[in-house]
Amino acid sequence: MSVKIALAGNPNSGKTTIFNALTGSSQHVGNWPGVTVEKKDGRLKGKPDVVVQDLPGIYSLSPYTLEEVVTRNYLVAERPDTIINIVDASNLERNLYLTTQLLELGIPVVIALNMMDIVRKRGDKIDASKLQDQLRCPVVETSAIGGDGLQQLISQACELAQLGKASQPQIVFSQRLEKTLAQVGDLLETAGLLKRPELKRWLAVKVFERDEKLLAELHLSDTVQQQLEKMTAECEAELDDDSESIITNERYEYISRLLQQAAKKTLATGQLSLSDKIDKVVTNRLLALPIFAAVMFVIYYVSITGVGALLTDWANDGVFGDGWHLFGIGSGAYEAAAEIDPDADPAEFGVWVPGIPVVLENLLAAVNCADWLQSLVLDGIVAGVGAVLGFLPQMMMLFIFLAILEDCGYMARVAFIMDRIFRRFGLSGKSFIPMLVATGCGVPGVMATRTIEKEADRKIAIVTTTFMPCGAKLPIIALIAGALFAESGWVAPICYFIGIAAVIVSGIILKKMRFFAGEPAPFVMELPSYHLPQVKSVLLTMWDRSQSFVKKAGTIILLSTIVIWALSSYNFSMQPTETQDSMLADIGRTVAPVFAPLGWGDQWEAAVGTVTGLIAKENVVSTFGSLYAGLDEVSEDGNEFWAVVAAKYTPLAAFSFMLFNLLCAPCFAAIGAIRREMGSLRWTAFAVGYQCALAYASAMVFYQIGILLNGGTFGLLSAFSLALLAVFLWLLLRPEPKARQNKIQTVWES
Amino acid sequence: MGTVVVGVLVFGSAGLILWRMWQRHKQGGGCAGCGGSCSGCSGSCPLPQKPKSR
Repeated sequence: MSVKIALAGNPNSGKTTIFNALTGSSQHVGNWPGVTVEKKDGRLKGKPDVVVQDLPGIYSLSPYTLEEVVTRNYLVAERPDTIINIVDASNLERNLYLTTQLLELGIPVVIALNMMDIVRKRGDKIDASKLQDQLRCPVVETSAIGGDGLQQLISQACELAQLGKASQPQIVFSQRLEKTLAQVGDLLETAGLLKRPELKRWLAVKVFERDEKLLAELHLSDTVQQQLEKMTAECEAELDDDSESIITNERYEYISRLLQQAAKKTLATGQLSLSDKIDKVVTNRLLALPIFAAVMFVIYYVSITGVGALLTDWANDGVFGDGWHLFGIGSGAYEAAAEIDPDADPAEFGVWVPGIPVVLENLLAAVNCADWLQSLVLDGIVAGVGAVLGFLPQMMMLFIFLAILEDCGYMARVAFIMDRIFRRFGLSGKSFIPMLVATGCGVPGVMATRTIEKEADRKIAIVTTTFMPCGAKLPIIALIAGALFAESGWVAPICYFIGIAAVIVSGIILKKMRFFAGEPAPFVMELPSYHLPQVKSVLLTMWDRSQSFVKKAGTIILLSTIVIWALSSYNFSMQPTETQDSMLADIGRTVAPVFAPLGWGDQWEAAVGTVTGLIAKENVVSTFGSLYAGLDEVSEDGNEFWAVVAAKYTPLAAFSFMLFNLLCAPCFAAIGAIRREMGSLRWTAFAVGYQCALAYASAMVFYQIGILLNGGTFGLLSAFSLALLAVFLWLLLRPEPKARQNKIQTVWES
Repeated sequence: MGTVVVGVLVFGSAGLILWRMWQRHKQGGGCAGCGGSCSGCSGSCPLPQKPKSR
């Protein structure tokens, strides 16, 4: 018989880490709340009949947020056999608030006291057996990261599921409140509204709280409704508070009594923990932004220009080039010889490993493969896919750094810091969470906007999220940075800041439109404690993202390179021809004039790359790789591809090309995600149209003003660009449609 | 002979990739070439078509 075990708990309590450990899955784990938006299923390792379900993190069973609705509906309607309530033991008081509600559902509950390693490190003490006695359910100490206690936890959960008996609800509230809840429960029972007797207490509490969603579902008769209202009002009058606050206060009072017996803290109230001390600096009103800018600058600099570039050079020149000296054996001797004789063969020195193109070329020649097929493999597939995979080392470096920032807890602070800026312009800080997710891939980034309750704010977030440079856009950045700005380390970091700036600027412009106007959604976020990044978690995140990149290179990019090769090798009469006379060149030349005001309209290859980039953004680079592969006699040091690109574009035009491709419509998968989340074709068209318009205008203004500043002549396009800039500034600076009062609460609990 | 072998390898692989992508698309995950490995879509297709099965 199949057993369903649900993992429920507060955001960032470690549910996904436990889910991964129990099921062997590799769902993304992030050290910030809101990583899990939807329910995820997995089968228990070694016991395929046990289904484990990872539910979104919630603070209560009140339907305030989408996550709470998803979790509550699931628990009440589908009723798993057991709930594993994952409790962050380092923040027990707040976490037990949900526990007291889960215990009322009449489903067997096992409590996992997670993050016990942090509790012990702090010197705090929690008596699990006392908690167990008081809460009347098994309590297991765990540390999800180290895997401690997980075996015991799952055994207890399976045992309870087989018994199928829930613990009796604990007397949590005062006598007066318990009396009213009993009356409400009895009335619901008499009125025949209890479909499940075990839900009696939970329903009584929710009806007493006047839970609108539940009351609507119950379809109460007028008489029952009046009687319930009378009972609730009497209790409210006696306890001098509204019903919802009465329940909340009494739950916390109960938890406080419970913790007095079962927990002991070393840190006195008001004393700062290490996390608090670090936060005093990194979230400081004045220092926060410079620190964030410095951190991102260093990360992008080291990944794209520094160490990452060295590794990419090796990948491009060695693995996807002529070859390399294994562990550098013989490279010194070759360099010395090359100074005397520039035609010296590196293969004659040390241990020489030939590159993939060389090996394949020899192999294809050995089997007498037809020339056209050799060209397809070498100039099409290897050049295209190789051009993309060559950037893998840089991406892996960046993914490692971003994963470290996420895992240690700094990225959660970034959302907090960004909230300060966002709310100044009437935007919700909650919009920054999807943007953090989008630095990996735009698709989950767009989907993460579901956590934003306010429709207008959510739509703004959907339109702007893909401005962040995702993993697929990194090869474009790396290509332009490497080929044209080799000595400048600022190109890569600036792309990240361009993404953030585009989000903020678009947010301001859109918020001033009638549809989007209004107060931003409140942003409540709990900042997790800092901890040292876990090597396994960091490598897993990096591997996940890199694997996705490699998979794309081996699937959609490979297919695209075949099509691009075919189109660039034949003319419309289906005769083999030079690339310049091919179908692709004709198509590219037709499209290219559109981009003339942006500075790269004379390069049809760039126009083609931009269009193929809609399939997957990596295609921009693979298209360049395929189309410029035939022109590889520019340099002899293996850097042919980059050198061709450098020779074809001016720095201004190249930056304008990069700017356009960073900001324009994302790939089809992300556009599909936008359509799904917007739920309408019209809004999808608006999003894509806005993104393309902003990209075009930004690239044009940048290029035309750049030309003017470099001594160019003032012409029609310059005037048009200046006018465009003026309109842009007006949209940005015009007064708001109505005075807006900021009522945003940012709750900072650590 | 060499041309036939290499041709079968290249076009066979391309066909296999297309078939796999189509299968994944039908199952509702990993469509549009994202490979489905980032898990961000939770196995459901981000394209407008409704997943046929989970």
